[in-house]
Amino acid sequence: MTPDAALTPSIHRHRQKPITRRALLQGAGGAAGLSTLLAVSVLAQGPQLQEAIRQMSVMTESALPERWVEPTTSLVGVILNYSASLRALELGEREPATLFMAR
Amino acid sequence: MDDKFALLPLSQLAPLIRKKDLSPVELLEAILTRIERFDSQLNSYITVLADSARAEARQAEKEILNGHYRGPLHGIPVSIKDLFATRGARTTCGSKVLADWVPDYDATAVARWREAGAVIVGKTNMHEFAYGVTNNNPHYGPVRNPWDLERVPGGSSGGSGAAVAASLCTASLGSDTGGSIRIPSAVCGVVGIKPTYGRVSRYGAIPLAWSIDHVGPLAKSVEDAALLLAALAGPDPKDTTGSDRPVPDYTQGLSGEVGGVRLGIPEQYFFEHVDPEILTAVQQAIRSLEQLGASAQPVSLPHLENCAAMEAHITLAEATSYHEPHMRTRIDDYGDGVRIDLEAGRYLLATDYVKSQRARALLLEVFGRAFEQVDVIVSPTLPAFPPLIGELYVQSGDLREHVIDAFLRFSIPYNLTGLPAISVPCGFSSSGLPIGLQIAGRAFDEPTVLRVAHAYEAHTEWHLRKPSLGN
Repeated sequence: MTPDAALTPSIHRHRQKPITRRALLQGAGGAAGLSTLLAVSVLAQGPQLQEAIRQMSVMTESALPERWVEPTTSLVGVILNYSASLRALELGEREPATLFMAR
Repeated sequence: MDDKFALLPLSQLAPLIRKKDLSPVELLEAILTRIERFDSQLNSYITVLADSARAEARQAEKEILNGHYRGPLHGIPVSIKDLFATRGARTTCGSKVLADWVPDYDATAVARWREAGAVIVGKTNMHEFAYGVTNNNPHYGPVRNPWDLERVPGGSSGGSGAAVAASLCTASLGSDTGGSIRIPSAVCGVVGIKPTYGRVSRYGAIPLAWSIDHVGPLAKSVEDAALLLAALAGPDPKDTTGSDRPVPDYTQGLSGEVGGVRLGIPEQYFFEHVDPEILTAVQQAIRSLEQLGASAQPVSLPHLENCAAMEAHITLAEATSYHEPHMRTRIDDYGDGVRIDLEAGRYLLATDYVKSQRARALLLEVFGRAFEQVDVIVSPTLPAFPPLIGELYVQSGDLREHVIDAFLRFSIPYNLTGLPAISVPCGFSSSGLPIGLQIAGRAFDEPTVLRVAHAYEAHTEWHLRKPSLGN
């Protein structure tokens, strides 16, 4: 199963009642509160993503403490969910604006 | 000292100071007295710099008496969001990580206000590292909304918004990565302008996300905002993204006239899921501008539904990159909300970050096409009223959503495009909460944005209302 396919059910829920990454950031009670907030919608997709994030410590050179795995995974999952439209966006030859200038 | 001077806007104080009818020392004392009386309720300041401010006010008074008047900011008491480096004054960025940091330099924006003669009263409270919109700061306590002490003031420049609204300073310096000047301005009933990216130097402003961070003033009126922006704008060799375009006279077009100006009313996005009272106030504001001679027409702005994802990828990636050194050594000193954001920033894909940066070019094309038809684009600043402190959700018309989703929704497109946008008061709810009107323009066309905002303000009295703080 591809990551996108695994996330599909959550995308539909978000269309009805959007939950974006920001819903996680200011959850009362920190990590525990966030987990409660997202228990139904986002964490259902969690096991694969949690495992992926644990394994990414090889790349980040920093193991994520266990207490932070669940809320961090939830946040990453939400962002992946609502990135579907962005990923599908056809941008042609447009170049990145990494040093952005409005002029 | 008559408290009434503390309540006046910069544009009315400056002539009094220039004519020596008002002493900067007396004005500062009136402000410090108000801080002493009211800031225990609001918590808008992290650090009050009473001693250095008194010295600066005495110096200003001396210069003016000696015939050396520097201009409209001379002797004006201002506050600085605690994200800007201030030489010799603690700069916490609302964090425990930087709780004891005393810079040995000024941010360029701070230096420019100092050069203009402003008196720095103190450093205002903010959302930790500017990473949020409620100002529920876990280290320095929440800032309270002067219009309703049980509610948030917006953020991340929430201390600045509250302090200006409550006349605990005459103006304040803020930063805006996703709306952090315009959001507290709308929530607190003051004026805030996010200028074009590159117009004001970011040097010395602790970054949240370099490529969408902006610096600008929060003020009591549009004319004040124009005067304050004029002192900030211009190239800075220390900021490589700064523009070397000439800085126009921002006050020149403030005639109260908008005849012939074309207002763009977005067909998508900006009027969806909005509180009915906000919608009514903004629609009335558009009618008012039409009665003043402006014309309104619909404009199409597709693709804005991608803004939230773009903002997430850009902000998380850039913020985590900036904070990595502190994350290695001080990770437990971050508040929970900011920590989760920073941790998550390690696990997003570089391709999504780059795609977000590429999509900014698309958004600029979208707005570019709209600005071929109109001169400014008008919308609500926010779709909902501020929640009670500690509450997470707000009602945006038919949509119940998280406060940060709601508050960023209409402001973030102008961070991603870098276009200038102002929030100006345009009404109050039935429960007495302010409503903000957002007016955005072409790149570097701050003069038109200010002109339209000023004309609206000149024919309304919303900006003259003051919160009642008792005593």
